[in-house]
Amino acid sequence: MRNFLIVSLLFLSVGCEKTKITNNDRFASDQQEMLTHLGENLILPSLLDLESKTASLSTQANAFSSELTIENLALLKESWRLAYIQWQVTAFYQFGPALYEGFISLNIYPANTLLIQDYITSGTYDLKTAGATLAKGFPALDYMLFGYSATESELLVALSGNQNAVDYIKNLCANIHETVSLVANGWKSDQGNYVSTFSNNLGTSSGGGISLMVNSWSQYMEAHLRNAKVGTPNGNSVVTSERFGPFPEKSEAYYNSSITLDLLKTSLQTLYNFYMGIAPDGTDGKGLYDYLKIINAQNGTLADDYAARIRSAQTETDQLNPLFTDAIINQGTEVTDVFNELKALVALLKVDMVSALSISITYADNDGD
Amino acid sequence: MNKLFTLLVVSVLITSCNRDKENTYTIPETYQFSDKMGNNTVSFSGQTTRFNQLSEITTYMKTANTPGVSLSETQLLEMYSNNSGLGSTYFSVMAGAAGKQLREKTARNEPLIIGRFDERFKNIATISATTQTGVYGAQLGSPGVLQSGTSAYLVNDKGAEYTQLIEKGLMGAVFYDQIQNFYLGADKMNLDNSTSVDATGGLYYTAMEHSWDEAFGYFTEVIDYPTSGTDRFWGKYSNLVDPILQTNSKIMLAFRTGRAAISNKDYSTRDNQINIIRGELERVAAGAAIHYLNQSIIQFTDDALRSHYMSETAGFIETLYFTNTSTAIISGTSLDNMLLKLKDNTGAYNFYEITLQEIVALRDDIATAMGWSDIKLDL
Repeated sequence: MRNFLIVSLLFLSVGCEKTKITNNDRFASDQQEMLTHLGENLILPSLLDLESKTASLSTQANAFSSELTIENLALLKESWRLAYIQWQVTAFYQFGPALYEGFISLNIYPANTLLIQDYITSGTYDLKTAGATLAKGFPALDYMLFGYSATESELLVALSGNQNAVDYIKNLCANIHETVSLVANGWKSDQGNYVSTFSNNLGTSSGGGISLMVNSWSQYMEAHLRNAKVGTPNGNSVVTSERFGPFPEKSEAYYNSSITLDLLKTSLQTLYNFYMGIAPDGTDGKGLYDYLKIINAQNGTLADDYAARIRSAQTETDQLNPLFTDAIINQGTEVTDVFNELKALVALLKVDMVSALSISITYADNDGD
Repeated sequence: MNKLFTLLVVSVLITSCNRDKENTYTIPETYQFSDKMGNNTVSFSGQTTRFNQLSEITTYMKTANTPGVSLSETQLLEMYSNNSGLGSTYFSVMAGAAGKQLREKTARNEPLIIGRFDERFKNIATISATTQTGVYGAQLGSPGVLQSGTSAYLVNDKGAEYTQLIEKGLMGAVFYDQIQNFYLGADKMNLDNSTSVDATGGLYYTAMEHSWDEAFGYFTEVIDYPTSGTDRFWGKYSNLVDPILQTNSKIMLAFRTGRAAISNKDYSTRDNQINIIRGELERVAAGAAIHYLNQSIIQFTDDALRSHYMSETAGFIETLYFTNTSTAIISGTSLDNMLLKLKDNTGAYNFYEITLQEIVALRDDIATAMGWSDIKLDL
């Protein structure tokens, strides 16, 4: 009887899901190869690089706080810049350990300077709480190092009389490094070993590796790359692209706008490398581009179309003035062109690619409640 | 062994409606039952009226998600009790029928819980009056409207959205509680099951059959669920978790089977269905809580979305207190501990001071309790 039940259940499931099971089976080894390559050769090395850069950041912050000199300030600023750029390289991977350690909260801007001042005045705050999101991470440091005072010497004067503010800088850096370390540790094979969990998490269910990765990628593309970096400061409507801006004060690294365009360019180059499966050391392995080719998405055209789109977004970005705040004020049309390229990338990703991969978007809960 | 036996019985019931050997009655494919004369014996209009009341209250509360729109406390409290059961003109004719109200049905008329909802209605009216047209200025310490994209939510000074706490809360304290503890409870299941309540007046059902229908009516207002009826309340949230938990068909089959069993005086089958319904509803509420915790994790840095999803979560966790204690997987003590993670040291929900780690831990606590560690990411 028991056997009979099992047999009939098997029969039922085969009858209903024949095509699906065959597809998953057929591409399982390709999936695993891609996830392994991305995890071992792109994501983990990028995080290790970031971890060492945030370790320097934290070290420089300690040095600066014990000796408030122009030299130490310069070293701290440079370590902030290097870590901020490397953060862009890891920012597409907001799933797994990153999701649970609040990795994205290290770069939500514009910073809330009133909240930061409140925290400094009171000296009581917990940077891990939800309410501290706009007072922490790289944007808060951007404000503390470049916006808190008009000049470097004024900053040193202001800080020398305000231990709470010095501690705040130190705590911001420590929080960045701690968060990054937790994420990196989560991936390391001798610790959380998510690198293995990820590469063996096959299939197309919403908890599967491809779905988690593409969802986090899509959400990052939409909310952060398209909107926060470009559309919001340029004042573009997400629907019509019509301009209501500019709002330079909403741009990334607003207080040190000379690096803003570097952050955007790094982000786009990372997007390209991640999509193609090109590792930081130059190794070109199996990425989503290759996987889309294998599953013959849209008769084989989608893979190249998407790569070409990233390239045009990069070309448009190359037209911009080096100072981003200057670009959105004087080159609004050109920035809108970049925004439109990013919009097209989001649409291709959210609709065409998601459907070709047989997954669904899970981060937008449109229940109308 | 017991489990296997249950499986067998269920499978026999599913596959052999007409040539069943154990039972001599059929289980219809929709929730449609009639007596030997062909008279319809199903009636749950009072439950649908209360659905409409909660829908209309919720629609009204959401008007205050537009800054500058304030709500009337008098109107909200009158709607909650349907003007003390006399019928409120704030309702449409679909909702305002005299004799039906949500307030007295709240936690089977428990003053403490009713007081909690009275308080929430008063509070949402109070904070709605503080908003100003065009200003999305809520933050820790200041109530107001939070905005994210095209969504906007009125929240209190700690980020709690009363609209969700009230709507999901009453789904639990009224609809869910009435199914779990009232209509499927021992008293109602001991009522007469041999004579029509009022055949001459057109009430062809027995008292026990009617109790079962009223339980059903608090799950869904349609007899062909999930073909329709997936748009609100438990029918909606069962449908939300159904791809992972398959609750739609389990709940419907249990309601249809139990109703047929009652009409055929097969009480052991009926009692099995009661346990299934109670258990599956707990899975819906726990599954929905995990779903919204997952959403809160993903949207942690977005004040508006985090507050919204956390408020929904809180409502679903509050619901779990009303699972019948005979079948509940998550105990009241566990729920107390879970809710602590959502509250600050004054005992109030605080969705600004919460940490991501607390949200993840809460998600994992529920998943572990329900035995869902392997599917928690799918919900």
